[in-house]
Amino acid sequence: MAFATKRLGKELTKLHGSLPPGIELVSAEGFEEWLLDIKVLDANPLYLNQTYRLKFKFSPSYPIEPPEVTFVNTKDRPIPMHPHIYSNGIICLDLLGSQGWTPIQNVESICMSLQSMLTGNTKNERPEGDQLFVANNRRRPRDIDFYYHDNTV
Amino acid sequence: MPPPNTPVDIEPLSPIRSSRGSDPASIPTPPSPAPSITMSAQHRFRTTEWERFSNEPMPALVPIGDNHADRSRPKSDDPVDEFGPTETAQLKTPFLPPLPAAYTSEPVFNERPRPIESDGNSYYNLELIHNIDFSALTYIGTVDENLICSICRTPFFNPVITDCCHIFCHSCLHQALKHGSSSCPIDRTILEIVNEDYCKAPTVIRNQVDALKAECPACSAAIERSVLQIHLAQHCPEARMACPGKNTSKGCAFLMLRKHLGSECMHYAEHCPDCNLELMAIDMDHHRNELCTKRIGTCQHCGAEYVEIHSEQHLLACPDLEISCKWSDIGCDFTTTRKTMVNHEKSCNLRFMGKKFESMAKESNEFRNEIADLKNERNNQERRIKALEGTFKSIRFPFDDISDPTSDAFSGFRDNTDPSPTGFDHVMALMDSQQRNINKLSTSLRELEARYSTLLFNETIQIRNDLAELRSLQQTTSMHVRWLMQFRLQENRRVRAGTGLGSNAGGSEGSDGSPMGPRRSSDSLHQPPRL
Ligand SMILES: [Zn+2]
Ligand SMILES: [Zn+2]
Ligand SMILES: [Zn+2]
Ligand SMILES: [Zn+2]
Ligand SMILES: [Zn+2]
Ligand SMILES: [Zn+2]
Ligand SMILES: [Zn+2]
Repeated sequence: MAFATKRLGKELTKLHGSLPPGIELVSAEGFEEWLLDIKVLDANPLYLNQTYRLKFKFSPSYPIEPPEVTFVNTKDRPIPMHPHIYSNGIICLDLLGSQGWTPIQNVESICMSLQSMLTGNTKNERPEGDQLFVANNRRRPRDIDFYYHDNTV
Repeated sequence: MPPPNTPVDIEPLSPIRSSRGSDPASIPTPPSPAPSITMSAQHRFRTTEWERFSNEPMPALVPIGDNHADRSRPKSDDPVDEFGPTETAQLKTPFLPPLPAAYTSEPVFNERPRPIESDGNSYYNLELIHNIDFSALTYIGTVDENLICSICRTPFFNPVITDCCHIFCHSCLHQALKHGSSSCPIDRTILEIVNEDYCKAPTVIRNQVDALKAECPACSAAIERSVLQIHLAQHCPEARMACPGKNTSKGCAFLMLRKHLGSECMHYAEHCPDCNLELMAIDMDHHRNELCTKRIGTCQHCGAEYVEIHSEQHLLACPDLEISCKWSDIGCDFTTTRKTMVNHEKSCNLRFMGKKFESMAKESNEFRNEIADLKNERNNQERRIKALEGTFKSIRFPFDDISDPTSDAFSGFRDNTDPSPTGFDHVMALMDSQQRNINKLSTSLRELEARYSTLLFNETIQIRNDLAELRSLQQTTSMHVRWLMQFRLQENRRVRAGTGLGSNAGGSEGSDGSPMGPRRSSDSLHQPPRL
């Protein structure tokens, strides 16, 4: 755990100091699970005036391994509509898989990538087979093999 | 960092510590000599202590006997016999503060004895080897961003450089490459590193990181990183070292802090002259000055008796101690004993001023804090503006949006600069409008920054996806080629077998038992390309 703890400690001090616009640290208790809120900054009608909550789960080998990042659904924090986001909050983004991840990424850069992923989206839809996936999936996001097939988003 | 040698703050880790580690006052029963602990019990204690810090078995903590080779190897069997003379075996464990967190392992004995001295004997080196995790250190000041590893976010340790000229800590890069992808974490250049043969970073970089100063994990002094281990081994007053008794017939194997170093071994049992508690001589000063509840002192001013460790509290209330008037900082230099000071304060000439002064001091303190806050804010804003200016200079970007709020802001600014009736109002208005301008500017800059970063991200995501697609296409193609090559080889062999030594070739193929068909190295050929 030592490696992840030290690196996350550094990130936390930085996040407490300054955060990019539209990103807010909600809680970072311990070095296993953090919550952050993100907002889409431009006037995309799909996400207007909405805040979304992200849950980060870190393994002891973070940042060598990517963290597990999902959207969580609470009373005033819905799961954003996006063709790469399942309705249970699981995100299909290549940089969160072991293929696309590199250890120089961090919590802040992930948040910004997700912000931009939402900003650029125009489709008000869920991924194909969302219902089936959400009903049947019992695996952790990191164990799921996504095909990052769609390069229009 | 916990102040060393304050055992009261540390929860007792074992019964042994209680002889000193806990405040005797909290124990209602009269302090009786703590039971002496035999060496095997002591070893067990030390082993668990050790295991709190590392998962390795504890290296044998034994005095150097005749048998040098065995010392570094962990001992799994009961080491009772290894502890030498029985007089040592009757003693309790001396107190040592917990090992600072930056240590990767308990300091170990230096293997090599000191050179033979004039008396013809060789002596053991009392300096220990201190293993420190450099990424756990607190560095002094801000470290240049260029010297910080992008994987662990701490200054490089043992930096290595890749073919694509990126620098990482050796261990960080090794971890990242071992984990699977064999590409540079920054630009994904494929790295071919054979046998962990990493290329060392240029000496300039190594020298720069070696010259960084860090807080000593034991004494908190600012020490150049490259000499930190030497500092801990040879100079640090709060670091552990071997007891000089190691070089006597006693062969004392205890560790001690350098600041407690005397001319000889202090690891023998003694009774506190006041409370009769049995403890080690090396710990006696600390016990008597900080912990003993039976040591009585007498005030030299009023003659009152008190428990020595509460002497400071007594001085704060001692009626016969000479103190100065409470308005001394505004000019009263009257001094008298505390009990008669009350009379003076009632008649002190400065008592009215004093009250005013107090409230003013309080107010000015508040102002000072406010100013500091404002200054901080301004610095932050300036920093942000500078960073953004840099970005805008390098990027062409539609500025039409921003020009509106700023021109607005500037017209507002001009309006407000009209000379006002009083200078003060004028300055206030100026400040106000400036603050508003700054706020407006920074919000529009923030918006721009966000839009710009979004733009950049979208751009790079596209590129990254394209790249991945290309890579997978290339893989598929190369698989096709391999398949075709194999097929071709097969074909060739069959043709040769048919035209050449027909019966022979046929026989060998049969005995092989493996009619070769085109082999697929994997099924991925039939899967959709993964991006
Ligand atoms: Zn590189
Ligand atoms: Zn590193
Ligand atoms: Zn030191
Ligand atoms: Zn000793
Ligand atoms: Zn005592
Ligand atoms: Zn007194
Ligand atoms: Zn006075």
